[in-house]
Amino acid sequence: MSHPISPFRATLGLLCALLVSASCLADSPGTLIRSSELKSQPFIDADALASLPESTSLTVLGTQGGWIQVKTVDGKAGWVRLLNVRIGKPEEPATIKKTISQIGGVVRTGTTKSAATTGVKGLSKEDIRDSKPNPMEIRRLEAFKAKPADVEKFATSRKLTVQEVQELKP
Amino acid sequence: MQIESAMKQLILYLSLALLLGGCASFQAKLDERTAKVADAQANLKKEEATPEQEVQIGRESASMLLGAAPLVQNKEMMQYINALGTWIAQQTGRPDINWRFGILNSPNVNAFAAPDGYIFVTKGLIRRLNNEAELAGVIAHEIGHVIKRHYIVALRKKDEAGALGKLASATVEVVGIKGTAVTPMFNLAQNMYSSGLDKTDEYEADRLGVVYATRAGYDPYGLPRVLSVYAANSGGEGFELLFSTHPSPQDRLAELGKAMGNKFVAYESTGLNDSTAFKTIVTLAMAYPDPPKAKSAPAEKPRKK
Repeated sequence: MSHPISPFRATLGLLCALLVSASCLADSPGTLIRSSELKSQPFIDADALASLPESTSLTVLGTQGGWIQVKTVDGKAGWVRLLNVRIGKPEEPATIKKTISQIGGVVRTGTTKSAATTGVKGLSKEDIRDSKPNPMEIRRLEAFKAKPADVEKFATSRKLTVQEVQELKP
Repeated sequence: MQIESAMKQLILYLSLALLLGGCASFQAKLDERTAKVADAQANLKKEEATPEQEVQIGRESASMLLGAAPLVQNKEMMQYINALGTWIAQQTGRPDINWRFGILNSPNVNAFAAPDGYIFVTKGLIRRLNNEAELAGVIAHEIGHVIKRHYIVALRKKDEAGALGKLASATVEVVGIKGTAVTPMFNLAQNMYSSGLDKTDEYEADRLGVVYATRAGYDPYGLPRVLSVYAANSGGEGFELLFSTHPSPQDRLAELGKAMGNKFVAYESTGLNDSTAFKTIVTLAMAYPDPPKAKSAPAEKPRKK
């Protein structure tokens, strides 16, 4: 079967999955939000290794395309559809709410001028609070506006082809 | 137009009311219509901004974001993001918008849009991404916010001080000769960007992000993959602002899952996933130093002692 992904891109993808995406996603817990086939490879027509029921607990290993590489508690490894997995522990929704309210608390302390977030670098709520107008950077930004020839070159060098896709309903 | 038709209906109801006279249930209906006309007027005011106002709102919002984190001073990175962003923007049906793209020198993970076509991603976000399709998904999401005018509507809602009303009368004197004065609009932008948009706006931008990136020839699952990285890093360092201003990535993925279904499977193998240029940009982002933490000094170059 001929596959449209070139060996070069496949290698890049593999390297990426191994090096980068692994560092961001590896060993995250996950749960199936609907029953799914566990595939041997990240393709629709790949062999199904098992049929996993909804709520199966998983360990996430990495992603590729619309697929996520997982390992089950009993040691089965393979690929399931990315959007069938909820990443995070099963009780995660409550944890997240707590985390966000904690963050909110930090920020509220911050806005009352206490130095609660000292050491936070980068674009944080404090940076936004302390921001001063920066018209000089706006002018620099304007200077980088893409010219039609640059955009054309960008697309042709990648063989990007425009697809017709309808807007999605919620 | 909405008001015109509503007014016509109101006149019709009024004439009918005169004909029928004193019918209680009809009166109730009439009241409801009147209320709806008033609502429509209020909504229209909320969402309206003249093109000149939108330019000013966009510029002050962008100036605020750039005051919080400057652009990277790297031609290759800036040209790359502008070519990629403009290519995607061309597939949205709104190539007329004055699109400008920038990479903010911040190690935190985030992306921002502002009215009038400003789109920013952070250096920290690029460092975390695995391929160009993922960056395309994030940029396409931000483009969606601009096209659906989410920021204009949200700014109107938050504008208790009447900053937007003062825009029209803002002269050079008010804004400052070089745009360095802190205006009510600037303060409103600070408030808006530290609290974020409604979650329905985020879900809409997610759906549009997938659609625009796919139209531009990319793998449709770039944005969902970024959201899964966010999900795996919930509460993590560098994600604080992102998490406090967006619905949970798990909920965003669940919403996208419902909307996407199996509609994008066909584009999965044909869509572009990566480029060598992206790898170069990531390498540059990895090596790029954080800005000196000099408060309120906009983008000064570090001086050698």
